[in-house]
Order: sequence, then C-alpha cells, then structure tokens
Amino acid sequence: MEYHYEFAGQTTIVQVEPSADGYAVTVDGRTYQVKASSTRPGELDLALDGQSRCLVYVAADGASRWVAVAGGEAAGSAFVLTVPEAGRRSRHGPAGGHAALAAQMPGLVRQVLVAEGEAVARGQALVLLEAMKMEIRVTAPQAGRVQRVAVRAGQAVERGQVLVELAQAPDPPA
Amino acid sequence: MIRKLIIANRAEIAVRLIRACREMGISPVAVYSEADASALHVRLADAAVCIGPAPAADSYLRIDRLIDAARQTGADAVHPGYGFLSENAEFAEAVQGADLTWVGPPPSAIRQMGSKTQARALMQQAGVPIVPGYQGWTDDATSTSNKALSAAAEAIGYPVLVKAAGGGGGRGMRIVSEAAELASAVTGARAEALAAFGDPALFLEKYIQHGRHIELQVFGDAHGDVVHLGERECSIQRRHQKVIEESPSPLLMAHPELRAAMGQAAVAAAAAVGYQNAGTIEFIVDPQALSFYFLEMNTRLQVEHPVTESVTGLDLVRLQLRVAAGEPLPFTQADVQLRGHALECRVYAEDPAQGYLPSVGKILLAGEPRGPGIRVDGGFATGDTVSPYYDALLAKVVASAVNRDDAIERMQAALAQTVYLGLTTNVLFLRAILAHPDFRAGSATTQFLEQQFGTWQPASVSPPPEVFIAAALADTLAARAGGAGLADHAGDPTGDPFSPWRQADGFRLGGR
Repeated sequence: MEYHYEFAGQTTIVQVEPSADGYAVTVDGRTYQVKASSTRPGELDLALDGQSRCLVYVAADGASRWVAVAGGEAAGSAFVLTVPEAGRRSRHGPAGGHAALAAQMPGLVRQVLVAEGEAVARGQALVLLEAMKMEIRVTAPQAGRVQRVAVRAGQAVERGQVLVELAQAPDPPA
Repeated sequence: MIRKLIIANRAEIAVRLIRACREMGISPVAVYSEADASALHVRLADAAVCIGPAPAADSYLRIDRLIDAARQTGADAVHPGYGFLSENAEFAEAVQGADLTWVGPPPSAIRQMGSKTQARALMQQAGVPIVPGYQGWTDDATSTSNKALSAAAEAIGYPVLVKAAGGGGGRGMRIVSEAAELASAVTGARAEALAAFGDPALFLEKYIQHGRHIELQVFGDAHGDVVHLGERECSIQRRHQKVIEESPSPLLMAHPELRAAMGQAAVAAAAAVGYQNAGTIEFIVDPQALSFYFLEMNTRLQVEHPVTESVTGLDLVRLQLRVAAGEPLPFTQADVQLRGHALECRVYAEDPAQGYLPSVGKILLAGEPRGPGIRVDGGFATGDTVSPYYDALLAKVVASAVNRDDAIERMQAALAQTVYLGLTTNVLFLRAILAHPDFRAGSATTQFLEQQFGTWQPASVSPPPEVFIAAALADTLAARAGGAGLADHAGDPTGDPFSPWRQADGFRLGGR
C-alpha cells in the first residue's frame, strides 16, 4: 500500500508492506522494519528496526491525520498531516495492476468467497478469516479479476501469507 | 452524613467530586447546561439535571435552578466546586435556606473575605501582615480626584497595583510603574471590575516586584479547629493566571522558619472570620527580605488542591464532605507532614502560537499519562467537544516524587503522554517552562513567565518518521477493516470510520 501525506507544503510518500513479523514501511525512500502493537484505542507502540520503541497517538478527521509522538524531540507536538485528494483515490500497491492480498495475522480461513477468473468489485469480500475469535473480511482494494486463489477453507494461515492475487481493473463508472 | 450531593459545577472538578462521592457511598447528581448534555461529568453521575442554556449566566450561575435541581432529585447537600458560584454568599445562603448542607465556608466568611478591602482591614486587626496600600477611595467610583490618587500612590511608592475590591483572578488589576500611567489604569481597571464582579470599587497596593506567590491551604471544622496543610507555590503565572503549581515551595524548603510563620498567620487569618471547610490564604513573598504579605483568601477548594493532597496524603474533598456534615477534623496541626514533592500543570485547550487563543472542537483522541506518581484530573474524553462557553482547562496533570527534580522529570514524561488530538494545547509551553534553568533552580518569581516567555513560540519541529509510519499503518488497518466486516464490532467511542482500533482490546498489530 502506498500513501501520500502532506505536511507544511511537503508531500511524503509512505509504502507499507507486510513482512515476516510486522511491516516493512518505507518513508521517503528509507525502509524501516516496524513492529506495532496497540493496547488502547488510537495508541500505537512502535518498534523501529528492532530498536527504538515509541508510543504514538493517531486519529483521523476526514482527510486529516493527527499524530503525536510521546518521546524524542517531537514529544508533546501534535502533527496534522493531510491526505491529498489524489492519495485518497488510489490506495493501491506499487505493483500497479497486480495486488496480492495477504493475511494480516495468523488465523484460519473460514470461507473463500470467490473463484479464480471471477470479476470482483471494489470492496467485495474475497475471503473470510477467523483470528482471535473475530471474523476478518478480506476485501478487494480495487475492482479487478481474481488471478489466483492461494488458500482453501479450513486452512491455517500465517501472517503475511498470500490469500488471493488480483489483477486490477479501473473502477467501473458509478 | 451526606447521602446525595448536587455537584454545582462542570468538567474536571465535577469529575473529581464525583470520584470522591463514589468512594464515600454518596450518590452524585450532576447539573449541566444544554452545551454539556453529553459531557463526561453528566455521564459519570447517578442523575443529571439540565439547568439551562449554554451561557453560564443562564445555567451554572442560576441559583434558583440549582436549588430546584436539589429539590427535584432529593439531594441533601451542594458542593460548588471552584469558580461559578463557589464564592457567592447568596448561593451559600440559598442552599442553607433550603435545608441543604453547604459544602463550604459560612456565608459570613465568604462575604468578609469577598470584599478585598474589608479583608485587608480584618487581617490588619488579626495581626496578619498586609501589603502597604490605600483604600480611602475604594467605594467611590467617581468623585476621587486623580490628584488624591497620585498622592496616595506616591506615599505608597511606585510601582503600585490597582486592584478590584470585589474579586480576584487578575481581573480588574493593573500594575502602574509611574504616575503618568495611573489615571488610565484606574479607568480600565474600574470598567473591568464592574464587568467581572458588578462592583467598580478599587484599591491601591504596593506592587512587590520579583515576588513569589505562595499560598497556604487551611481547613476549619464546625468545632472551632483550624489547621493549615502546608503551602503551594504558584509563582508561575501568565497574566495572573496560574499555570504550574507545586508543593512544597522551593523558597520555603530553604526557609522552614518562614513556613512556620506563614502557617501561623494563615491560621490566624482563617480564624478571624470563623472559617470552616477548605480555604486558601494567598501571600506575596519578598524573597530577598523574606517578608510575606496577605493578598487575599479564596473561600473554596482551589484548582491546585491536588498538589497538597499529594504531599500531605489527605483527600481534601473527602475532608470537605466530612467537615460539612459536622464531623471534627480527624487530625491536629502536629499530624500534618509534607512528604516528597508534587507539581501540577494545567493543560489548556489553547494555542500559544496564536496568542493563547482558546482551541475549541471535538477531541478525536484523548491520551492521558499513567504510571507511578502520576495523577490526571481531567474533564474530557475521546469524542467529547470543548465548547467556547467555558474555561478551556482540559485537565490537570499532577506528578509527585521523592524530591523536586524527580517530580519535574516525571512531569516531563507525563506531559509527553498528555495528548488531545483534534485540539491545540499548551503542552509544549508547559514542557518549555519545566526545562527552563530558572524554574529548575526554583527561583522563578511571578514575573518569570512575562520576562522569559513573553514572546515565546513553540519551536517548529519536523515530524519524525514515526509520525508517517503511524499514519500509514493506521490507514492500512482502516482500509483492511474496510468498514464492512468489522464495522459491527462495538466499542469505537468516536464513531470515526477511520478508527481501526475497535477491532479488539489488546489486539496485536505486529506479530507475536
């Protein structure tokens, strides 16, 4: 996933990819191995590259992202990032026409809702996962066609394991 | 004993009072204006009564509606908190006249101390040192000639302070450093005093430069006992509004004999008006001469009472409720010991970069610090709205530790975790004050903020990578949740579709 954020007239590009035990997050070209946990709503405990830990607060208000950090130079400051119009429209992966949807946490595949070759609409549920006693619905980030279904119902999956690969098509006109 | 208490206030102090009620098995009843219908104090109380529209004059200051609320709910006592009607003798009388217990001092004491000029005279009689001053023209708003005023000011010696006789809090107050400024200061102060207190009466006082504001907490019971609970230093003020308070005072730590003298004077001052319940005697202290002067008495619980609670181990609100019910003070002066050090920072919804303009709106996320020695008295939670009608105090953060340096360090860490996303707060301002060498040295006077922070602006800091990482991770999770599969999971207090955190408590976003 790629995101654009504006702060003080500058745009920062952030890419997020699931990795073996967290996320690989690239900020302006530099990649961090990030582990994140949350014990309270809106509070994220981040560990960057297995070293520096910090508590971060996040909230959204429309296109605004309010973020505050509880440590370091910026402690006590609240930053208001803006998601530019274009960034809100195209939250697709850097691979362009292809998206691999992976499990966000270890779990059990409860149901596969699509078959290979099937056309899907943006937001359509593809796979139902069960993890931590919750149902997690994996949905299509864009309209497209199912290229490959990599799992079957009843299968246990690991974090980051690919579930479905989509070939993306442009959104049909509304 | 009190069974059901009307809490005639709002925000953090109402929440704090409700907390004491819960501990004591008293049923708390909130009152609220239309603007506060879903406020935290309303949600926490057993019952809540609407007492009118948003403006305080139509709600929180309406004695008749407060008394009605008590009748309607079968309450047997009223606690006024601070501000609003807390120092209003008519309200105290109306409460008592309705056969309700007034959690506060006798109305006569409120009246005597409420008139600053009468209080000065009384204190003089009681042997409490007062600031050299002039009050011959106090009640006469028109006829005193500028000539007489300047003669009085000359006699006292410039700089002088023009003060409102009818109230405190910095309103109707002017510092005049030379004769030429006197006339316009008097005109301005009189107009302000009339608007704020309905009383244009003024008086003159010598202005103690480089003074320290040190106040003594006093407590009296219905059996004639009065004690003091040590001091609070409140020299860190911006435009006469306290910003940071602490106990003990760094000055008195070095001069315990001064504390003893001030304590005695404070008890004498309270006893002189037959004081009962919680009150505060404010002194201005000349740190060179080590002399102190009575400024005024606040006949109510103070905003900064938690620092006294932290160093004495007492709960002042519990004590207030017990004493109001007629119980004697459960300790004597000799039992009162100050242990360790406590600081309080007032966290306001205001923007220091914009002239401390109040910041109103919805709190997208409230993050409060936690940990040993940290206490937060807050009045707002995530999803609450800060309205423009009332004081912008969001919360008081109190840090206590074995000594002052540790308490400051703890406070710095606590403030870094004091977050109100959606609003601008003064947290960076507070952190900058705590880091200042004069503050660290404990030598700051009441002029400190004006001199050192008069033109202060928050440093412009670029967001560290964590900021972008957190935003992108939150956006990723929100997109995954998609608003479809997980939207039905309850527990999202904001109703914000962005919030991915409603998924589960303790949900690990990383591996493990």
